[in-house]
Amino acid sequence: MIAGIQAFGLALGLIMFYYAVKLYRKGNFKDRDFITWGSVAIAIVGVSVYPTALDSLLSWLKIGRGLDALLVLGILGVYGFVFQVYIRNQETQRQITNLVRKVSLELEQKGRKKNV
Amino acid sequence: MKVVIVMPAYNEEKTIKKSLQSLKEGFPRANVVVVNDGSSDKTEEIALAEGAFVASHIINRGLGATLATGIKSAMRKNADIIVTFDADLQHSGRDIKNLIEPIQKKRANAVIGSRFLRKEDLEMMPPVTKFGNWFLTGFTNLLARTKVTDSQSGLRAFDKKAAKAISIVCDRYDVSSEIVYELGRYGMKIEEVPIKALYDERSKRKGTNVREGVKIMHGILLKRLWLRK
Repeated sequence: MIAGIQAFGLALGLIMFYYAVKLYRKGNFKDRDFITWGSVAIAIVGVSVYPTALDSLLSWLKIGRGLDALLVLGILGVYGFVFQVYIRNQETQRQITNLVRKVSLELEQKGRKKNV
Repeated sequence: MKVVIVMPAYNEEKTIKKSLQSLKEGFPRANVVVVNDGSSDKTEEIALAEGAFVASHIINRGLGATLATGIKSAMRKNADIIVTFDADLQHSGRDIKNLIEPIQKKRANAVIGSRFLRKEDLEMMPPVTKFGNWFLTGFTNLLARTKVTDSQSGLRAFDKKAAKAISIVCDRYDVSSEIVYELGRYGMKIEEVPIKALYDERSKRKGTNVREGVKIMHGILLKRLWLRK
């Protein structure tokens, strides 16, 4: 019987897999994206349907159930993504600034004193 | 010695003309580069009409980015001394002579115009600004291992060596602390001279607030660690 958070996990996994396939067919996902996100979706579905499947690994990690592991890993993954996005954003900002600076120096003008 | 004044400006149409005139009265031989940081008003036109060099950012990039552009422009003009000067009428052109003297006499690589050296100069400073400056200066000194009294001052002078040494990666208000940090990192000799800062309602509103203060601390602490060139 699938109930409670298991049902949420199953629904999330299926929706993720549906969108991964859809985006891959449209060409918006590259092979690597499809494999990564498709695998994450299948893992979510698997652990939701069989929460005890990873028991031996989880007992070694001292985590209660497969779904708990998924949540813990999910939160850690989100931290990782936020960090990656932050770093990429900083780098993009720096590139924009360098470009804006280059253009401004190329187009620098010398004014002539006059009354406004 | 060729002195180039860098004036960062963002929507300063109300004050830039008087700022440029104050510069010319106080320091007539100034070459002025106005860096217009994507202003949507007539800042650029007014600066050009006053005879300044004008480099315009096509979009707003912040004070730090603007100062870095100005310093680069000044170095292209073979400046021996580069002075940064705000466009909001907070500074007086008369202070520049004193500001550049330690560099001319080879006593310093960089000079900061401090609002904290004379008691009478502090009277006009709003209490919140006073506390914010004191806190940020303490924090900056701690990280930069410097002993400046006013890390957030916009009136500064650099010789060629200091201008070449500092690399600015902080785009916003955090640049003031970053400059002090960089000067400390490269072992530049820093002197301070007293200056008088003038505050009107507009400059009080534009100044560093608590939110900016937090961003400055973030900038100096994290960006320097992660984005060092």
